[in-house]
Order: sequence, then C-alpha cells, then structure tokens
Amino acid sequence: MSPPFTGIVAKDVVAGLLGPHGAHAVARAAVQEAASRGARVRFLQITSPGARPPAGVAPAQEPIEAHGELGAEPVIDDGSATFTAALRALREFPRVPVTFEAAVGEPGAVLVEHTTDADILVLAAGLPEDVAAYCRRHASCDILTVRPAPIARTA
Amino acid sequence: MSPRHRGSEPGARHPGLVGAALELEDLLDEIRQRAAGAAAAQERLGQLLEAVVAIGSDLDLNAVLGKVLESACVLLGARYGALGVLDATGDQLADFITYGIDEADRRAIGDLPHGAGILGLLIREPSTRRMADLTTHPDSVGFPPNHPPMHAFIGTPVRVRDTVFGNLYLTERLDGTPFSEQDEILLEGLATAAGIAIENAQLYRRAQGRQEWSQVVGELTQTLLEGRNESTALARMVKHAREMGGASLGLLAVQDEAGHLVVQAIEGEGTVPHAGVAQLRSPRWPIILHERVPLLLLAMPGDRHVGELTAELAQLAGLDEVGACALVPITVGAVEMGIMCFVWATDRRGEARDTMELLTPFAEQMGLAIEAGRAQRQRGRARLLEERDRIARDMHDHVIQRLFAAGLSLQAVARQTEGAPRERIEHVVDELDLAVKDLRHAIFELHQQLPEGGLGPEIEVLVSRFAQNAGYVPDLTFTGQLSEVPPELEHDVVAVVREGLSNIVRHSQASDAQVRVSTVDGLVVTIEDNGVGIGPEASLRGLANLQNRAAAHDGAFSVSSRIPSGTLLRWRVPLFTE
Repeated sequence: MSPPFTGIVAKDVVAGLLGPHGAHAVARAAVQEAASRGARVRFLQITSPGARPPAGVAPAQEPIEAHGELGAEPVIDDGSATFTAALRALREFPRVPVTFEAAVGEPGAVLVEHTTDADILVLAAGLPEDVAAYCRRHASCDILTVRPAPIARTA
Repeated sequence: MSPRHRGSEPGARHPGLVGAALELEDLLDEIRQRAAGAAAAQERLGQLLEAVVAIGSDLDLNAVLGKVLESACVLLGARYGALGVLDATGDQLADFITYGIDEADRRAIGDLPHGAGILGLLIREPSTRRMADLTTHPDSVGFPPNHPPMHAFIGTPVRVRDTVFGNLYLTERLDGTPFSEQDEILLEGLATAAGIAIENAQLYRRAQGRQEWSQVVGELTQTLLEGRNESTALARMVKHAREMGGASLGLLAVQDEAGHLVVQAIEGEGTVPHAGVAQLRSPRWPIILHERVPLLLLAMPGDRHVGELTAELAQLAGLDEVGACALVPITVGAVEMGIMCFVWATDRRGEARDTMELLTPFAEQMGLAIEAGRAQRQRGRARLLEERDRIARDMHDHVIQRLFAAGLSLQAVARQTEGAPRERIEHVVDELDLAVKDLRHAIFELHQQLPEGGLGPEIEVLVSRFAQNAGYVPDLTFTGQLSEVPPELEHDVVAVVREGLSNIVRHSQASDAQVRVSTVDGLVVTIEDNGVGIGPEASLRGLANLQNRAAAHDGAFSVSSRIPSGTLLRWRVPLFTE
C-alpha cells in the first residue's frame, strides 16, 4: 500500500499570470501562500483572444477552455517569462507541488472558470479594472492582489 | 448470600423484614453487576493496552495497519472491520483494508468502496459515529451484491498529527448487540494509538530511505572518483533513484555540445523505449536547467489539463497516466549537465513528495561528486602533461643535442676521410639526422595526444551501448588495477564482456545486470543478470569462444544459473604474478 499523503491538505492556490507584468510578485505570493497552507500551486497563464501574437505564430482561434500547454502557442510571449518567474518563486520552496496551465480567453472569465475548486486566486495589482472586478463578483474563492515589486528588485 | 438463606422463614413471619431483604438483595445485585462491569472494563482496558502494544511493536506501515484493524475488531468483538486510507485529496479512499471478509468474498463483492454512503459521511465529517443499524441511516446507499449483511456500525477517524490518515470502520458485534458508548471510547483510544504507530512507521520508513540514499550516493561518488565514465555513472544514479523512490519511470537527459537535452537513459517498470535518440524538446526544459530549480508537478483528481512537460514525458515513455513528475536539474559548478526526471503513477503520488525531498540533495551531492571526479581526472592529466613536458625537455635539451653534436663530430671526421669509410660515416650521420627528426616528431606527439583509450573506457563503451539496447544501465565495477592486465589479455576481456552482455540482451529477459572486472585474485570477469537463467538443455556452443579464450591462458570459464533467478558468467585467467 502506498502512503496517501502528498502533503496537500488544502485546496489549490491559483496564480493568475496575465503576461510578464507582475508575474514575479504573483508567483512568489502564490508559492508562499501554498507553502504555508500545504496546497498545490496552479500557475495559470492567460492570453486574451485579441492579443497580437508574435511574428510567425497563428492568432488564437480556440474557445475559452483549459488545455495542455502544448496548445498554448498563440500567446504574446512564448510563456518563458512567466515560467521563469514561477521557477524563481519556487527556488525557496522546491517541495511545493505545482502545475502549469495555459488558457486563451477573456481573462476574467477564464480566471473564474479555473478557480471553481481553488481556495485562493492570486492576481497582480494594476490589472485592468474589468478583470479584477469580474473576478471579485464571480469567483467562488478568495482573491489576493499583490503589488508588483519594482523591476530593479526583481531583476 | 445463598438463595436458600434469602427465602428463609423469618421473612415469612415478619413481612416488614421481607421488604428490607428485597432492597438489600437489589443493592447487592447492583453491586455485583457493577463489580462485574468493573472487571469487564478492567479486562477490556487490559485488551486495549495489549492492542496498543501490538500495533506499536511493528515498524512496517502495512503490518501496522493490519494490526490496528485486527486489534480493533478483537477488542470490540466485531465480525467485520475495515480501514479506509484517504488519498491525497482527503476526499476519496486510496486503499481499503478489510477484516472478516476472505479473498473469495472480496472478489465476489467486486470493486472496493470509493467513499460513498456511510463511509463518505466519516470522510466528510471526521468524528466517531455509532449506529444500531446503518442501513436505516439517511446517508446509507446500500450494499453491492454479494456483500454480507451489516447493521451495527461504529467508525472513527485515525489521525496522524492533525491530518486524517483514514477511518476505522467496524460492523456486526459477534454477540448481536449494538456498539456501546464504552466501545466508542475504546475505539477512539485505539485510533489515537494507531495514529502514533502509523506516524512512527512512516518516520522509520523515511529514515531507512535516507540511509539507502546516502549509501547509493557513497557508491556513486566512489565510482566517479575512480575515474569512470560520467554518463554511465549518472544513468546508474537515475536507476537507483527510481528504484528507491518507487517511481514508475526514471529518465536522464544530458545536454550535448549543441545544447540539446539528449535522453541518455530511460528505464522503468515494464517496457520503456530505448534511450539514445530521443530528445527533450519543450523550450521549458532548458529554462529549468538554467534556473536550477527542481520541480514537482502533481496531478490531482479533477484536473482538466495535462502540462506540457508531463505530456512530453508520458509520450516519450508511452505512459497513459501520470500522477506526479519530479524534474531535478543536475549542475556541476557553472556547468549545466542535464535533468533527471521521475514519474509516479496516480496511486503513488504520495511517494513523489517524499522522494522530492531526497532528490534535490541527491542531485547536489552527485554534482559535487562529478566535479570532484573531474578535478581528479584533471589533476591526473596535469601530472601526465608535466611528466611529458619533462621527458620532452630532456629529450630536446640532452638527447637531441648530444645526437646533434655526435653528428657534427662525425661530419668533421668524414671530411678527413675518403672512400668507403667516408660513405659509411655519412650514412651514420644521415641516420642520426633521421633519429633527431623522429625524436622531434615524438616530442610533438607528446604534446598533442592524451591517452583516452585503455581497457576501462573500452568496457564502459560496451556497457553504455548495452544500456541503450537493454533499456537499463548495468552496474560496472572494477576491483584492483586494470593497468595490471597485460595488453595481450585486454582483447580477451573486452570479448568476454561483449559476449556476456550480448547474451543478456538476446536471451535473458533480465531487468538488471552487473559486470565486474577484478585483478585481485587473477583476472576475473563476472557478468550476472536477474533474467530467466540458463536452462539445463542450453548448450554452451555460443560461449565456446569464451571457453577457448580462457583455456588459451590456462584459465577457467563457467556459466550457471543463479538463485532465485538469473545467470552468472565467470571467466578467470591467472595473471603473470601467479
């Protein structure tokens, strides 16, 4: 018989990553929160459907739904900036279990849809007000807003 | 007081006394009952203590769980019992151990419960529950076909520290009565003791695991310091780590000169594809390596996504489901060497977290060992180069100068002679010129080439090729000094290793192998595997070549089956000193 514990005793912490803006602060806060709660972190990278993709990448045509990261090409950057931010946040807490997800859609709707089973959603302060307001109105979990650290400190 | 005394004559004559006698009798009855109750309670308390001692006496988790369940059933006189272990989510059962239901009944009942009905009630609200008839409870969902009838029920959570580990369920008292309040107290007491015993067993297992890991680190460090091939040692390290961590797949990808992460070794339970040509292609792998951050990717029930890295590993290894992945970068100083990946099935995710704790220091220690090995080789090379420099200097400053001086002298003598002697002297001078040229060429070569060959590396190449074909990395050990092996025997040793490994691939169906070359007691090559062994009908025709090679050097060759399984090939020839 295998031991049942994965050390997870709380519902997920979702880190809402809407591009590189504030990604370090969001990732760091999400990881710290998960470590203190004994939860898993889901790094959720969201791309707006209207966002202009980088050269050579087809624009997003998919509906709003979660899918594997392999399907996440049509994004503003290739996700490496947010992925790096997540890794740096995990440096202090390598045992925190994680997942990396990507979704294309209206950020507010995607965030709400992906946090139905979560305990807390971490967002960067300074997001467009409609995203934050939508999440506050519709999300079933707590929302933690973190102020991005000055670039000089996170670099 | 005897019955006869209680119904004696004086009472009949004095009715007032009859009432007093009856009250006294009731009182005595109550005292007797209480005394009996106290004795029973004492006895049950004794049984509880015995049970606590029994469950605390074992350190194996499975054994502890079995004893907890059995002790609870015996203590409360229950016909049936079960211990449901919760999975990582805490919402479902990961395992369900039963008591009182034999294997045939279990098969007849079919699937084990997943945590619905009354079982689910305890999972949702972890507190002790006692019911005279569980079938009448609103949460009851009934029993599957072939399930024995059950009515009286008691269940309590088993906690390890503050976390619910699982639930203990007992049904049907042997005497047919419902479970009592006293039963509840006893069961809660036992559950508390069980929690401590379970935690002890878990701690013990972790301690044992750490000991095993440190042993492996020691062995691999020694291997690397012996100057062995790094890739082979790393692949072996991944194999050990996978086995100790209980992972279903272990993979090592090493960064090549072009920066690609090439899969160097991939092995696991069942059949996995061969390494050698596969690459890790996601752009995220180099980022992990560059950032030097280990990752624990964990899937949970209800997840709708499959991560890119997980999907790539699953595709590479042909896995249908992945519960957890540990990705650990290996760096040596400033050099990013590669990434170790381990995959666990869904029902073994718990081991991923425990292993992750050990993997990170393991990778760091291995990085240090590799660095130490490299430094040692570097020092060896530096010493060799210094020695060559000295030899080259000596040859240039002394030998060539003397030859040159001798040539000049001879030329001077030649000018004073005529005819055949002069021709002879000039010929010698030419020879001296050639010798000086050869020496200069040799000096140049000394600075150009470093010895990379030799028996050890040649065997390692064979082992490395074998690993690519077999899908696992055999253990390779050198004992004594390979430099003692005379050149004429080196070819034989390589041939023996090649033939032995080739036989393992073709015939053994083995999942592990060991190659040992020793010069301690003669030159002995031993090749073992854990495969199907050599049958009595098997002919040694294919191995006759090895027999001949042994006989040619007055040696011996044998091949035999191992117990419990596998084949042992032993080839021995005496060395010069014998």
